[in-house]
Amino acid sequence: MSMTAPSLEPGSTFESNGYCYRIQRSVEVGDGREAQQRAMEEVRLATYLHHPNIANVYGCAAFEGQPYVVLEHQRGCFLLTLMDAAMQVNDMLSPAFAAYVAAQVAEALEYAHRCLDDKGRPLRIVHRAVGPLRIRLGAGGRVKLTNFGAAWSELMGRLRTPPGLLRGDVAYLAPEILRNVREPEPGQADPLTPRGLDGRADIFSLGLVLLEMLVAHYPLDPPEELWSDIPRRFPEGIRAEQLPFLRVETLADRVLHFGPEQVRRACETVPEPLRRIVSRALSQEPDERYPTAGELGAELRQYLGTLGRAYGAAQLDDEVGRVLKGAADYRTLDAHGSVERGVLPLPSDMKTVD
Amino acid sequence: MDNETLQKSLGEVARAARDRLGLTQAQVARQAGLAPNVYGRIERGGMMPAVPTLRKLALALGISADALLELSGTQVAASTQAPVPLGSLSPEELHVLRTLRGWPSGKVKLVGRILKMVDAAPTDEA
Repeated sequence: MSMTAPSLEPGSTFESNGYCYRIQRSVEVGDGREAQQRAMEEVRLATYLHHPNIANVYGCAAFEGQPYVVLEHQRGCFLLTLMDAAMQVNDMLSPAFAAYVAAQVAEALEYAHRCLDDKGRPLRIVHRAVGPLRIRLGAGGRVKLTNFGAAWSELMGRLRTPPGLLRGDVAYLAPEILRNVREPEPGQADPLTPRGLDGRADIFSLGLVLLEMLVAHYPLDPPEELWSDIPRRFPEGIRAEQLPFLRVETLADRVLHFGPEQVRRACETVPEPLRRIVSRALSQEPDERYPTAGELGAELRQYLGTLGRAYGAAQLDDEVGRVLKGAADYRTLDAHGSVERGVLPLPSDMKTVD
Repeated sequence: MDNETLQKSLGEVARAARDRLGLTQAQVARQAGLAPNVYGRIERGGMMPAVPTLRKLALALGISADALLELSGTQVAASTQAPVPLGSLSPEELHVLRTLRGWPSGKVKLVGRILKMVDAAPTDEA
């Protein structure tokens, strides 16, 4: 596709013909021609997706020989920004909020996983990086999953550039992908696509996001636990290096050891029907998870139905407004999130990162 | 150092310092009077502590704010009594200092007077 953008600064947004676009980071996966083609293919597949809960992917725009992904942009904030804001003022997002957001994302995933191309063939789209920095909360309580197609190249870029600090959504990768990244099958060029990969990887990621909304911290880094046992669990070769916390290997280890017991402990404060839903979504084995995102969404909606009070876009919008308002005075905060600019006021020396 | 890098390295140093003490995030957060989840986000490089929080963290973690901010002794003096580290001088400034080092005190005083005059004069250099 061709388009002219006023600025191709990654992360920048611009409006044209009443639509808002966002220039995503450049498609960068090293020098391999094969990887470059694979990245472009992922973006091309994503352009088929048109759903109210999915930010449109318009394709690639080249600038000075460098391809960029162009995505629909919605005003509002990332889920991560909202979770940060709540945490800063010791507020909790309601279980209804968590269930509603997860149900909306589940609908997006159900559609994407079943999407067909124009000849009626399944596209087998997997997002791979569903996470709080990929879920946008817009005006009127709209929930949108972003970065379809772009996730592949972003993850590749991150995994290939050690030391990969835990950032963004590597932290939400499903165990079957992480296992394959660690030990790719012989002759496999694409570590992010293990044989048999399907939408259930996204169900795991969404389960982790749901749990994070419910407990208000990243579930694999609980505040009450020491992780000093981790070095012992690493194979010899990896242990030889110094082991900084929260690098990709450490993280992979945590995800791969997030078994039923860990999930049970992480869910202690979660209300019962949601605890069961989270546990099933977070099964290590894809076969034990929900077979489809649709089924996960249905159970979440069923839970919402039992609350006695309807929770929908309007309630979500109110809750977002309440949390952001609570965190609006930066002078009262102990620390400042810097995930995106323009949502909350920041001290003047905090130039934000994107 | 840009803010993002600063935030990340601060988190890493905090985590290493906590690890050394064998404390959980919750314990450090309690000592520093912070919400445990906010402290967790700081450690993961997702949040920048405000200055009063930084002081509390330095105390709770038993590590200097310099270490948390990745400032070394060659960049900053430990106190106002300690000599200003030369590391913060430009090569030109260092060269001037080295030239003065061997001079008799009378000559250095003269340079001091000249410096005062030059300092008072308007600068046309951009």
